[in-house]
Amino acid sequence: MITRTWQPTGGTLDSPIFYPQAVAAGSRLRTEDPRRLSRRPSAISFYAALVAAGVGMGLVLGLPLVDGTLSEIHLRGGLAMFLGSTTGLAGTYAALLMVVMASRAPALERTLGQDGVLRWHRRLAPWTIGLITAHAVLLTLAYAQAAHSGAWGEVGVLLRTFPNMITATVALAIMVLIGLISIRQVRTRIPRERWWVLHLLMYVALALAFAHEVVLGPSFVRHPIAQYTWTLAWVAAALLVLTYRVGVPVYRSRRHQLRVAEVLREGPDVVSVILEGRSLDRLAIAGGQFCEWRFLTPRLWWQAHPFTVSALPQPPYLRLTVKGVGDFTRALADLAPGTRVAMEGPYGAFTVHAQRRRNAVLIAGGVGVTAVRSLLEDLPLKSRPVVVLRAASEAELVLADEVEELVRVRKGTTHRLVGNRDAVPMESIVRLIPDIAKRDVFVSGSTGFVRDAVAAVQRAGVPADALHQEVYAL
Amino acid sequence: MKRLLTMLGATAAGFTGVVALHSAPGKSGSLVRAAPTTTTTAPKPGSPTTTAPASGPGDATAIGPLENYSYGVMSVKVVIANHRIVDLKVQKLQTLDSYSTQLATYAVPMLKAEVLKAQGIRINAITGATYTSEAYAYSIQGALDKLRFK
Repeated sequence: MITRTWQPTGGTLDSPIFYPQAVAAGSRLRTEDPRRLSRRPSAISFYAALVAAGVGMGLVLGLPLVDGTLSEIHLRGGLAMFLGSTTGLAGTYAALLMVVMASRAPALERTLGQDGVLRWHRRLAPWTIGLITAHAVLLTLAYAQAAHSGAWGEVGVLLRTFPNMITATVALAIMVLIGLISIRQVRTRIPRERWWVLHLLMYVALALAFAHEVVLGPSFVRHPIAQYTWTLAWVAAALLVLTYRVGVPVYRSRRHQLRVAEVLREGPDVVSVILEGRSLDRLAIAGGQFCEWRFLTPRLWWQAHPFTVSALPQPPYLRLTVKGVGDFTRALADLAPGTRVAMEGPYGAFTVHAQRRRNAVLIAGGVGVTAVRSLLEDLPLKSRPVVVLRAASEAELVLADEVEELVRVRKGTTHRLVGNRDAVPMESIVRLIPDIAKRDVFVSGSTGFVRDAVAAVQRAGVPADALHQEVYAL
Repeated sequence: MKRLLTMLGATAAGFTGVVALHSAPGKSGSLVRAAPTTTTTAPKPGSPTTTAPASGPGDATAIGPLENYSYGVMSVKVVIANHRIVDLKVQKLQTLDSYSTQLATYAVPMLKAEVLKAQGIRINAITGATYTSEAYAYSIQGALDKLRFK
């Protein structure tokens, strides 16, 4: 059953690369070529990172006890001085951890998945900003107390007579501003692109704040070992960011030389972008992963967006599928063939590497089908997957024929469920799969869909380690 | 749970590590340095009694080296008369921040009194102004060394 053929630009009629049967053949080819398989997450590197983070936290909490601040606690302003030092250290250390989490270091990405890492990044954020704000307030009070002056007046004294204090204050203002715009209620009202650019200012803030830490911090002044360690830790974090967010993406983008080959309409608001590039057999990507894509047109080049690779590469082609919601994704439909594309990634732990059991259930809501579609390619033949595709309408059931074909080749079952949430309750999805508790369950879709599906699946007895999710935050 | 325990264990290890390392013998920890009973001494062979200096010039003046104590720099002028330290004057004081100025203003008169009384720098550091006390004492020591005052 031919559901759709795709003729690549400049290709030949007998290379309809995403024609389902060709994809099934392609998956056999893939298992024969280990270079293309992405690597399994390393538990050792993950625990090493965890231990390093813990030891670092212990070190910064220990420093104010030994650097002399504690022994002056009984002096005027001493208590506020001690608390101010401690909160400053702890808060800035939390900021360091947040930078590492934002660095896309593969050890973290592969184990926690990008949404897992970013969830921790978000969880830590209020602590960082809260502690650093407390640090500023407490130390202002401490110096005011010590000088027998008022707190407001002391702000001026601090700015005028302390070195690097103006930059530190600017840094604090930036941090608080970014904290405010990141509160969910505020963030949803700001265009994603604008928020992202503002968020980048955090690197500026951290750099501005650094000088006052090592020049004035009682834990670092006259404590060269502490000072070198602190500096080295920040240099290392900066290198991680530069390597994995700039170096590797630039290297990969240059190696693969991706260009838009064609844009296909898959359904209402859903488009597939077919890319053509070099050396795609050397791209280590697993089904279910995504990349940050940058389309190098005068209007779009400055924003990167996460889109799922909806089919494993069939050199020289690669396909991504996008649901158009923002201005950016709508602009994709007008991309001209030949447009150059830069990539960052692949990212994500929604892959077969997360699988703990022999068989799997894949549940996709709406455009969540894209991750399920490419993940299916990595499942072995005869693995009998059960796939549930859920959409509000028949037209929104995109890529369903491809999925069905991939599942059929693997001797599995596909369920198509169309209707709104009341018509198709989650419990009915779970009831379709009697042996769900013995399988790995992969859920992808919108935030609400994943939340509801995960709750229903957990009620059916699927343990947390067998449950894998990919959220499409729109 | 396993991750949390790993993290907490590592935190405890790091915390104990820094505290233990710092209070290890042979290293002058800040806790000790800042304690009010600490004596700030410069190594001085054949240390003098506090009353009568044995040798050196009768009347002389010298300015000690500029001591950098990270939160500021300080040099002290020492005046000797009749084989005794009779006056001390802060020749140069430049601090990083106003709080350090405040600490110096508060600590220097007390330190001066102690040095005059001890006729040397075997004195107690002022709590909360440990680094200032050290700089003050070391600059005086430098001046005394110039004068071969013992």
